[in-house]
Amino acid sequence: MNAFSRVVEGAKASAGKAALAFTLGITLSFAASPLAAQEDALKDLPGYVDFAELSGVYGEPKVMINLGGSILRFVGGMTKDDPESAALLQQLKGVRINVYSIEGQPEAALKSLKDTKSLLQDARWEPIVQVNDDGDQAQVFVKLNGETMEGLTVMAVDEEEAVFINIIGQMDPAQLSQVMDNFDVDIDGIDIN
Amino acid sequence: MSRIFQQWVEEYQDQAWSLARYLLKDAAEAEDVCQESFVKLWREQDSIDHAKVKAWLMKVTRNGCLDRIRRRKPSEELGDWQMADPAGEPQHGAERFELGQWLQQAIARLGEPYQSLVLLRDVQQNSYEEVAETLELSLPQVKVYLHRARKQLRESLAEVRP
Amino acid sequence: MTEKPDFDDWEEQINALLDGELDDAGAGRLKAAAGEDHQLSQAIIEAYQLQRALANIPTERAPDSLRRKLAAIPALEARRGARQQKPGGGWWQQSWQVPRWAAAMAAIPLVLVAVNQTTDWLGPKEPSAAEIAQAQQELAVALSYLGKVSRRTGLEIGDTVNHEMHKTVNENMMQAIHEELEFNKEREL
Repeated sequence: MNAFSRVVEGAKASAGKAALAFTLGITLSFAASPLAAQEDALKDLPGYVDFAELSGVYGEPKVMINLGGSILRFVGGMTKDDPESAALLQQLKGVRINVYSIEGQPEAALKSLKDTKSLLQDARWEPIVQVNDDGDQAQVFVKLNGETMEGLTVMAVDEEEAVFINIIGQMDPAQLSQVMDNFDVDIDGIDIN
Repeated sequence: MSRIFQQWVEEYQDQAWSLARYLLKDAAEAEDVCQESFVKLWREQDSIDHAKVKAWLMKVTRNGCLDRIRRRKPSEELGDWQMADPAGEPQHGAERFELGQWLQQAIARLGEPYQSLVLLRDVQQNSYEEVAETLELSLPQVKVYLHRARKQLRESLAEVRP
Repeated sequence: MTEKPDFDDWEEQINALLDGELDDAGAGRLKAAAGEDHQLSQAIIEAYQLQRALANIPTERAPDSLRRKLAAIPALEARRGARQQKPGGGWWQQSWQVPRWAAAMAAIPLVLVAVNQTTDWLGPKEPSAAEIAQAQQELAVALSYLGKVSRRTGLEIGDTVNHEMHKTVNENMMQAIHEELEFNKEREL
C-alpha cells in the first residue's frame, strides 16, 4: 500500500463514511490518451503522487483533470507568443488535479493534515510551505533531485472544497508563477447564466 | 464550419476587441463581451449572411457593450483610460504620438452613437454600409451623425491646440 | 454686407469631400469658397488632419487570453452540443462560456475523462486541434486552481516555492556536508 493509500485508509477509519478530512497532495497528471496507460506511464516518475483512492473518502470529484506530457508539449507549442509558458510546458510530464466538494465540513479534512505531511515526508517529499488561516489550510511539497524540482504537490482545504494538485516534471518554480499569471482565470468570480 | 469560423476569429477579433475596449473602458468586461459575441457567431453562423459577418459581429459586440453599460450602477462610472500601444508600432515623432493618444481619449469621451461611428468608420475604416448595418441606422442617419461627431472632435481639438 | 457662410452647409460638403462623395463641380465650388474664406479653408485643413489622425490610430491587438478563448470555441461548443444530446440532459447545466468560470469549467474535466476513456489515441499520434484546445482549457483550469489556492492563502506559490526550495536545497546540502564531516571525524578517531 503506498503512502497515499495509507492516508486514505487512515482517514476512513478515523472519520467514517463522511471522512472529508483529506489533505492529500494534489497530483495533476493530464492524460489525453486512455487513462490507464497514462497512469502507468506516470507512476514511475519521482514527482508522481497517487491519489486514486481519494474518491473512496470524498466521493466523486467535481473536477478531475489529467494531462500527460505529450499533450502538454502540444499545448506548449501553441503558446509561441508566450515563450515562458512554452518552455515550462515542454518540460512537464504531467498535470493532475482532483477537486472535491466537502460541503462545509472541513474539520475532518483539516485533522488529517499532520498525518499526510509525515507520510509524504516518508516518501521523500520536502514540505515547503504550510499555511493555516481561519479554517483555510494549504500545504505545498516538492520532490527534489539535488537542486532540481521533479514534482510539486499542493493540497488545500477550505470550507467548500478540497483541492489536490500534482505537477510532475522538472520545472523552475519562477516559470510556474509566470505561467499561472498567463493562464489565470478568476475561478471565484463566477457569473452563471 | 470550424475553419471558416477560425478565419472570422483571425480577421475580426482585434476590431471587436478594440470596439469593446473603447465602449466599456474595462479590459475584463471587453474580453467577456467579445467572447460572448463570438460564441453567438458560432451558434448562429448558419443563419447569417457570410458576406455580412463583420457588420453582424460588430453589431452584436456593440449591443453587448451597451447592455453592460446600462446595467452599470452610477457609482461604477469609469474614468479616462489609456489604450495600450500596439506592440511593435513605431511612433513617428512625439507630436503624432500625443495627438493619437489625445484622440483616443477624445473618442472615448464621445457619447453614443458618435463614439461607435467614429471608431467603425474613421478608425477601423469600415464602409458606410457596414457601419449602417452595425448600428442599425439608415445611411443618411449614419452620415449626419458622423458629421456631428467629427465636428465635435474638431472643435475639441481646436480648443487644445496652440 | 457680406454674409458669413453657413458652416452647416459647408460642413456637409467638407464631409462629403473627405468621404470622396463630392463631385467635381461641388469640389470646385468648395475650393473656390475656401480660397476666399480663411475660416473655411482652415476648417477643411483641420478636417483632413483629423481624418488622417483617426485613420492612423492603430487597432489594439486582442490580448492573448481572449485569443485563446476564441480559438477554443469550436471544441467547447462541440462538447456542449454532445452533452445536450444526452437523454435527460447532463447534470451540468451551466454555460461553458461564462468568462469567470469555475463551476462551469469544473464540469469539463469529468467530461474530458469520459471522452479520453473512449479515445484510442496512444503513443505518438498527433492530437487534433480540438484536443489541443481542450487541453489548453483544462490546463488553464488546473493552473487557475493553483492560483486560487495562492490567493486564498495569500501565498504566491511559484515565488514561495522558488524561495523555499532554494532554502531547502541549501539546508539539505549543509546537512549532507555536516554529516560527511561528522563521518570523517569519526573515521579519523
